Amino acid sequence: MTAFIARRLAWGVLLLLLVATLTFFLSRVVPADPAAFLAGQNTSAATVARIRAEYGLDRPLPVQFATYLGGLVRLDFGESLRTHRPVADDLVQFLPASLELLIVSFMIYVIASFWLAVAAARRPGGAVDTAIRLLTMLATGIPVFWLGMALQFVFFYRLHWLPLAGRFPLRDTPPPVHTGFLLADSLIAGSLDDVWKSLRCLAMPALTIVLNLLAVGTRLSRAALIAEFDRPYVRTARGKGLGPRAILYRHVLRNALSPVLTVTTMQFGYMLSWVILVEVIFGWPGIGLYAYQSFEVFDYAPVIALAIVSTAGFVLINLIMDLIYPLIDPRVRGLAT
Amino acid sequence: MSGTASSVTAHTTRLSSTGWPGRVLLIVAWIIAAALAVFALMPHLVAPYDPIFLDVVDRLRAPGLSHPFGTDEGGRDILSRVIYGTRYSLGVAVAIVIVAALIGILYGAAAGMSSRRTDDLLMRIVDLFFGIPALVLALALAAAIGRGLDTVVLSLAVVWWPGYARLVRGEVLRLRERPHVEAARALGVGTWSLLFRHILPFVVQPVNVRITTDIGYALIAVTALSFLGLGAESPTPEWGLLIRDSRPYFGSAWWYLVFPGVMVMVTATVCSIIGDGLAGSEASSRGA
Repeated sequence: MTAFIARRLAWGVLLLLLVATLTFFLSRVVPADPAAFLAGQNTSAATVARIRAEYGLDRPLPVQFATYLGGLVRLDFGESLRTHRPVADDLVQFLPASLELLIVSFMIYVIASFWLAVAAARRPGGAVDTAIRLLTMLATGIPVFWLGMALQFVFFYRLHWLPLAGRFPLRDTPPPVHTGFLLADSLIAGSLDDVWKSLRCLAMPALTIVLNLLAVGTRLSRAALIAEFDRPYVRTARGKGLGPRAILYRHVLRNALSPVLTVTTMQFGYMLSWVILVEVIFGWPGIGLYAYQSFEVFDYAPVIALAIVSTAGFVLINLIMDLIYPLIDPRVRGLAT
Repeated sequence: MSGTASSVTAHTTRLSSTGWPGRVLLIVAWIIAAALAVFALMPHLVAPYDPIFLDVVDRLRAPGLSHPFGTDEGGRDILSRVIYGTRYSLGVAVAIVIVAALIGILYGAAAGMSSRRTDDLLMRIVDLFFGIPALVLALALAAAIGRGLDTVVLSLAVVWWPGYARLVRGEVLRLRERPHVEAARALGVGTWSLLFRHILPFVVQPVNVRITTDIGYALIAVTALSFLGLGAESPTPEWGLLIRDSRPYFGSAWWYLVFPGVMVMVTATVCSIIGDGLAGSEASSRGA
């Protein structure tokens, strides 16, 4: 088990190293003048020279790479030219918004996809199954940003039900910050009104993410469930007279949990990267929007930081899943040691 | 992400096995694909207007007889713009998938033909690439080498090739043990011609299936990057860029948002239907 975890940890470190190398290569080696690149557009020659000295860009590349990695290890991502603050501080400020959106969406997604997959797998080829299959197939072709805008059109421009963008109504004061999660902060402040306001803002971005994930996730979970239903042990269970519900809940679901979990992990990793789109459309002040707005004004340190942070998030999720697998599936325990 | 998924998707029922509705759907998909090919290769024959001609008098007109898909904020005909856009959006998606497939085939074949140790190492590297956040890498790349459709191709090809490497390596490992390959080897055929004459020809079909399906996904990724402003620049009629440009106006001009989006969705769905059909015929030719 320890050896297994060590191997997975090594994989995570290597992946982070690969992304760090790529970003270093992209920011220091590819541009003709990295100092000008870091300084951004419309800066004087004096500023560029100052930055060159400050960042040690006049030193040899291997030395620079070592310093760069050293900085990353200490979570030093440099300074944002747009906010004039260390990027790490900015990330800490914007991360809770992203996490809140991702966590809420994922909880809804997991429940909904589980429910749909079970409904479909109960009678493969039946009306429910066919409908779900057709819908998910059509839905995989919908770009997530288009879906977000379509929801805005319907729920804001036409029906006036939900706010267009943002995390909290602009004219209202949000609850005092304790956790950074608006829903939690509203609860701590004891204001149900604030909870309601946050939920209304959260509704459309979360729905966009959930629908997008459901398209792919349901298809794969359904396939995993149906594959389990074909196994001999299901025939045995039927043979000894177990009802469909008992077979589903007591036997099939337990066995189908690992592949479904794999799909969910993949989905989460995928979303870590693509949540930028949702944040941009809904003006959701998370790390994706932060990096994007910096990118727009040629401030690149936040972009590189986001690459590292989302990779780290991906590694972390995978590690957690690796630890969960043996708990839910005794067969893996043997393999892992 | 598709690599781990393939073992699970193997069990999804194919459309082609659903009888005549599946077959009709497949025929419709091929007809749309042919139309898209014409749009991409000869847009001037189909489009009623010049896609970048400004006509401010006619700005933001609702769909009507003279402009079936309406006009944008510059009075440009949206129908013509989405027709011309096929070349950029679909063209770039095809380029990405082909570049990724070529890299993946070479890499996967090398891994499959080498010793166990080297193969292990090569596949570990592939595993690493699966973890790279695609969109953020594209942002970083666009920051370093500038925005443009070539940046989009490069950054998406970097995250797309590992899927092909895995697929091809698996096929090569399987084919290596086939009697005809063993016979050729026994006759003294070298590794290279063994690979190119006796193994790779059999890899073409599964790779084809994968390419067809992937074009749809690549298309969505391309339009997403253009939507963020990393790809094409105005007034190029790229579909993702059209959707980006529609943001200030779509609240009152739904057609500006709807039609470019419909083009993306129809094209992506057509790719997955055709890919599904090809997979079905491949499975039956294998006797599976």
